[in-house]
Amino acid sequence: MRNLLVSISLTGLFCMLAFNNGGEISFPRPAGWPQPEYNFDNNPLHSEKIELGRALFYDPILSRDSTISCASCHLQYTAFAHTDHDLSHGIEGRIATRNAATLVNLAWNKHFMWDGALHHLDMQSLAPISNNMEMDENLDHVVFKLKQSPRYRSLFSDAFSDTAITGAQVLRSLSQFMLTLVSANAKYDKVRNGKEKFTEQEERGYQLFQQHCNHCHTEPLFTNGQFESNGLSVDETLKDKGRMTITGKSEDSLRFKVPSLRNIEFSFPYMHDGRFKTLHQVLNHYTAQIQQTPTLHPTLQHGIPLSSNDKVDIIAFLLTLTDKDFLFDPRYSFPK
Amino acid sequence: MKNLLGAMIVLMFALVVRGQQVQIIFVPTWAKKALITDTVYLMQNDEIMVEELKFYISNIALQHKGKVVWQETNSYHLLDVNKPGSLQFTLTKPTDIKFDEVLFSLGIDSITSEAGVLDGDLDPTKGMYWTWQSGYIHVKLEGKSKHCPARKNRFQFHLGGFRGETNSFQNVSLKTGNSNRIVIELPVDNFLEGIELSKQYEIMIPGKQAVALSKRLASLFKLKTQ
Repeated sequence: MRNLLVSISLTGLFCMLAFNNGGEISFPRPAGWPQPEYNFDNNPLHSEKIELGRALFYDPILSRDSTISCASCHLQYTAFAHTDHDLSHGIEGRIATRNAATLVNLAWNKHFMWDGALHHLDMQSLAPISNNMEMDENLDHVVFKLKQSPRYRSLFSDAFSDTAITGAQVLRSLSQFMLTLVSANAKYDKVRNGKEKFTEQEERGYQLFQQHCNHCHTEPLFTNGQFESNGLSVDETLKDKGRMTITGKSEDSLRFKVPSLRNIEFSFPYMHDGRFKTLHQVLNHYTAQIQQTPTLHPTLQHGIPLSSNDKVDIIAFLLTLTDKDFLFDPRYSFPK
Repeated sequence: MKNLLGAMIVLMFALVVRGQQVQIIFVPTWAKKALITDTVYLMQNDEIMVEELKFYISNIALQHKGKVVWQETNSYHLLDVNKPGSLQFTLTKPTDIKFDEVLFSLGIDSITSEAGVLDGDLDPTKGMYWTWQSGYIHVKLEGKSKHCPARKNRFQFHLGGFRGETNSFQNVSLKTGNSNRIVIELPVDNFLEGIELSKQYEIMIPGKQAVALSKRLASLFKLKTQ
């Protein structure tokens, strides 16, 4: 009887959180996770706004010549990163200067882009839309194009109960869809919730991870949300100074935003310039290739001492961050 | 009696809601006359043409004897010299409030800048939000000068920045008296006179130069004396 009650109330809870046609949706915060950074009071989640954002996310109308969409570089099956491409692509085959980042658990992000150029998820979409190496479009013209489309006129009017289409509405809808991209059901999470157990190797990897990696790639988000210098040599063709580009401060030289490691199995290549193709290459960097720079993170001064067995164990652990439910969630895929 | 009281309350309410209107008119000027864009002006031995001037006026308040007595809600106005209608607007204050000074800000404050996307004049389609990094452009002034070494002799001042020492947001106060029509001039010629356009002609990022120029521009607002 008691079990029945529990399951009824759990079902009820699920229905409350589930996507439905009833309008407002509360944001489901996974157990034990911190408060999101995003202020939902200013943009409460709403099923029709999320669907509108999803339509926009997958629509090349956002680019100047209608050839690329957000999803061109942020593919669901690869954790919303751009597999096999070290630098992001734009219209007319243009190549930009940084690796397309994963889009995951964005509600907990305070800074966006590798250098934190954007400080709010709502504003983040402006950057790829306007960057001449990416979509090379401007928001005003996107609004103009959307107003010509009977489909979008109806989607906007359903979502905002208002026939005008504004730039703010475009950005809010994109935020809404991206906010739903929550990955919290990897094996790691199931172990944390007592539903599964690590193998011995994964457990050894987890211990090593906590000892050597966790101060920057902090659980449960697997990022501390800060900008750190991890001792990469400067790519002479890009000469990317990272955070310093935005702040102009020398203490921010070569610092980049610490990326989340969730779904890292599929988000290769790695680093801000996509220089490493495999996790082995990444670990080899941390053990033997650290460049001494004035801003290097103190824990990396002497590299991370790992044997080859340790590396294999850490990788076994990192693979437990793969969340198949997230990668194949039909709510995130191309809208039908 | 009861009806009379009710009618009086309704009437008072209507008066308060209707309030008293104060018209605020901004006039960018050149040589003491309204600035006309795409017109060549002579200045010292230079020929200057202003093509675009847009700026945010925000946080408008009325003050009496040094105390704020009224504040406009949702006080954000984008003024565009090429859209004359945007240069004037009307404040509606309660009739009984007297004032002798107008306060306003040039630009968008850091709290608003930290918020997410906003509507109306703050919508990023207005071309006053940077896209390569976060933040509003408080002031956009573009044009041509004979001495300007840039392509097509163009000068471009995009003044913005809201964080720490790069904060170029400025507060302005003007003694006005209790007038219901306030005309505020911005002498653009005086602003450009103070800039050596052969050396300083392009600012597109927050920083010391943007702060210094914003300060000087804000100091030039003055009440038009009839």
